[in-house]
Amino acid sequence: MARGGYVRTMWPEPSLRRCLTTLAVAVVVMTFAGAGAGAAARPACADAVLHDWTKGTLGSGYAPECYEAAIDALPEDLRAYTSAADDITRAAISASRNAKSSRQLADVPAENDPSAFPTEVAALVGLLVVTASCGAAAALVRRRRQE
Amino acid sequence: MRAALRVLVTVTAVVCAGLVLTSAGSGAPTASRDVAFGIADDAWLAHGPGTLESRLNELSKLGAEVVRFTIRWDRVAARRPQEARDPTDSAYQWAEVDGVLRGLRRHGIDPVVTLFGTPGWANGGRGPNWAPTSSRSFAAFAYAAGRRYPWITYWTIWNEPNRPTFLRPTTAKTYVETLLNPAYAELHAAIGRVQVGGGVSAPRAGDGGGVAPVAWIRGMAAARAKLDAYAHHPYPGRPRFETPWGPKCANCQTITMADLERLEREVHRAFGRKPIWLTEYGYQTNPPEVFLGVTPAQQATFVSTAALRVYRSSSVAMLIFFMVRDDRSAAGWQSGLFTADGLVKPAYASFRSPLVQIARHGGRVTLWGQIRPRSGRQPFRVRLEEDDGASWVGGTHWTDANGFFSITVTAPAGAHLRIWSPRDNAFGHEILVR
Repeated sequence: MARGGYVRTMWPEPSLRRCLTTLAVAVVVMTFAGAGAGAAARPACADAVLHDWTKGTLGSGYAPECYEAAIDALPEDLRAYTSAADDITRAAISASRNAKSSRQLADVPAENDPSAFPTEVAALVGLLVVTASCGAAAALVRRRRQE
Repeated sequence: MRAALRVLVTVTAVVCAGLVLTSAGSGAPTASRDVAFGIADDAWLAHGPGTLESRLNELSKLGAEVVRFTIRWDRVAARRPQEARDPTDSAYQWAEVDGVLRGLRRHGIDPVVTLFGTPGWANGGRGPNWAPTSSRSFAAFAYAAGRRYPWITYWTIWNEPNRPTFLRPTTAKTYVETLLNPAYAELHAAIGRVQVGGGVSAPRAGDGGGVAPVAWIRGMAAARAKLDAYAHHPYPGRPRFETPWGPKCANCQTITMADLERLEREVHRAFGRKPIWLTEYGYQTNPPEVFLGVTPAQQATFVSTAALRVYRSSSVAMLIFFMVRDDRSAAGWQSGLFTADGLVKPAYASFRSPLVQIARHGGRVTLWGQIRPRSGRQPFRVRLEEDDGASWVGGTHWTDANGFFSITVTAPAGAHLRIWSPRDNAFGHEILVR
């Protein structure tokens, strides 16, 4: 009883409308958050690609758009006088091949890949969690009402 | 007794003479060759801090034998001349160029002149990187420049025409037919002992329609290029991981210093045994160049190593480093011997007196180097730097007539060595014996 009272106080009884509203807000927030994260992450991972090239450690662990953004962001002297554009393109091709083969084997993100768990996936998981919570809560409420 | 004494004196004299001769020759390689080392920095030379005279004095102190300088066609002839082949035509504005080139001559430094930049009146109002619409206009300007400076031996035609930044349309055919061959003919007509360098290529195509140097050289040969030397800029592709010796890039179309042998092969195949001029080269330093820069100490090492690299190549006749003083803008170039604030980098000393360890057998170290300032044989000493002091290694050595030396001294691995040039009252860059 005490627990029931506590639950009522702390977690108000979810109605279907409230659940749908929450879902809609979650979708909007996650969409904007995802877009925002993408916009902010692009230059950051492009910088990371450039820094890795500078250190000589550029691998194929980044998302393809990171390489593209890095090539776009290359300063003129790097573009004209160094192998940076070629090296990054080569890494991008390698990354693309890795992505294809790993998708064929199993849809698992690459190891040591800072962008391997994309925001889109996070948003989808979040939506599933919210939907499942709403469904479970609605079922619980329905059962209590029936009691 | 007296006869025995006479024999002893004679033998001693012969042995002493032998030792003196051996000692005198020890610093100089038996087969010396000459490579002209120089520097290029148009902006600093024409408009840098101090007076033009003070800047020329600095180049003399550095021992620059050649200095590359660009004559901008679009600036000297901003207006169309009436008599384009006549250097005294009132449209021509030579004042700034006169000051620099005559100053270099006064200081005994050979200019390597680059002709570049099309005036709008010669290419339909386009930018200076667009080829002239008629080959006659550039030919006439080359003749006028040759007549103006008939004492200049080394000329190069255009700058990095394999990149659209400097030439459009970016084709070897355009370059050869509109610029190189007409200028070659007119410079030879204007100057008796002239050498015209063609190509002047960038090390890679870059993007946006550039042509890689291997394809460029072949394209120039197909277009029947006329030249006395092939000029190229072998900047490193991966500066932090690429020394002047390697790693090499098999089957690449690009040509950096590490792939000098490819340049030699391509040039000899295309044009016969023409000399190679490396008219721009350098390593940027970090700070301030974050992406491309090596440490100032590495830059100094590479300046020396590159000198040895070209010295050992029988084809390279000239190596010109870019630049004297770093650009103040971070977006600019930072391969100077001075920082933008005028502080001396270690590369200053290695430019003036390059020193490289070329072998070590136990405690015997073979060093190669050069004393650049002045001409003729130069005295020098080797100094061993230790934590608890410094000491001279051996006596005074002498370079060959071109300032080069190759000597073997006693120094253990881990020792720090540098050379002392008494005539410059200066030390060279310190090297670590490995």
